[in-house]
Amino acid sequence: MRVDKSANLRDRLRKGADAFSFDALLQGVSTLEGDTKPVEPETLPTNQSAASPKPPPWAVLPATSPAPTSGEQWRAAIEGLAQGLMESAAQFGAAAEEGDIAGQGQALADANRVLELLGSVDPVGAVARSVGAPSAPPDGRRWPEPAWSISALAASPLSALTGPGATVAHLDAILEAARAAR
Amino acid sequence: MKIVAIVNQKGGVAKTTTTANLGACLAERGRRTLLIDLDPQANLTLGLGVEWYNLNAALQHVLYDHEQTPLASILHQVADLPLMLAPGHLDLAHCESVLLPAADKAYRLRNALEELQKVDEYDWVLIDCPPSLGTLTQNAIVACSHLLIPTEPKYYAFAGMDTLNKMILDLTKSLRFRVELLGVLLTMVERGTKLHQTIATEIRERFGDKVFQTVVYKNVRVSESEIEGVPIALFDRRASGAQNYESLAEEVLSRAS
Repeated sequence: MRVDKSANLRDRLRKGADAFSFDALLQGVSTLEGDTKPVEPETLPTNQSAASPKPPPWAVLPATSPAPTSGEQWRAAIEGLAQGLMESAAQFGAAAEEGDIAGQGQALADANRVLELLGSVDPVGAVARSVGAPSAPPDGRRWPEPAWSISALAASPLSALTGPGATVAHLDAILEAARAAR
Repeated sequence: MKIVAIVNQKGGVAKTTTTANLGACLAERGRRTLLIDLDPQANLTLGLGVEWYNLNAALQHVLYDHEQTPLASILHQVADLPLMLAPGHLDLAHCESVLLPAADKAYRLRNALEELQKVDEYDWVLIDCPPSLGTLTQNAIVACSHLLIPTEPKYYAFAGMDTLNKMILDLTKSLRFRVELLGVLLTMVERGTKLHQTIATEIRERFGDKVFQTVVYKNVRVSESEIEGVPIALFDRRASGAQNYESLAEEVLSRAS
């Protein structure tokens, strides 16, 4: 009996393809507000760096503790983070004065970590402003971006503490120390 | 503005060729078109005659900080057409690690495109994605309105699209975006090959009218045009590769209307 190779091939292809799914591609997806599958705000966007092995005490609070349930708890948590940001900035400045690159890197890593958390829980700084946190961004502004690159560090308020005449190589060394510290 | 991510995590399926040539054909029809080279191999950039290694600024700078380096500031015009290129660069490979701590790392390209829209209007944006499903491709998916999936008529095409399907479902758990499939494009097809015909038929059965009628056949003139730094549609209009992409452009415009 003559074997129909083409039919066999089609049969094997179909069986193989049956194991796969293409529903999302075929139907499209949406997680935007007003569409059919909205995503809860607390899941947007996630902070993947919160699992750092050496977070300062004030920075781990929102990531590892149960989510605050009342407005007062939120405000207290954000006030603590904003205070931590001030402390990191002060440490960064002090280390800069001493020419301590490793210290600057550690302080930058700490500041970045808290900025990531603040960006997640209070993106426009409204809560921080409402509690009068001195480091809160002014109206209409957001928290600075965490600075993990030269361009971001140069644009960051922390760059004012690196001292005049800081070279690209100097910023690069600070960033390398920050990456090692995170 | 339609934003189309040309995506497939498999390499060598003509993502870059499709981006360049579909873009050129859309621009030839008067549509203001922007090509974005999101692949660290920067082959789209090189293939359009821009030497990425001599650039002071490329796409990675936009992704790091689009306020300091706006997307509009890095664009290069291609040929004498309403066709612009946002060049890629080998340093895009660092984006995965540099952007890792950023809470908004998947939104960088979308934010940059939103800023660009305030100063310049484009009808079409085509994003050439890297052959991976990492942060760069996530940026493309979050930024785009449509997906175009080039694929060879091979059995692995099903597995590849299944993986992409899973990735998109996974992204819906944490990101805000909306995307639909513009179409599946059969590429690298060898004429007269029964195996290709059989697999192509099966792909059409699975994806129905989402598969473009246009098929892109293997054509050596396409490779030659890349060496010249010109899309095949401009290099040799009579080549079958050029005609394939002209046909695709008509189909894309028809689907988008």
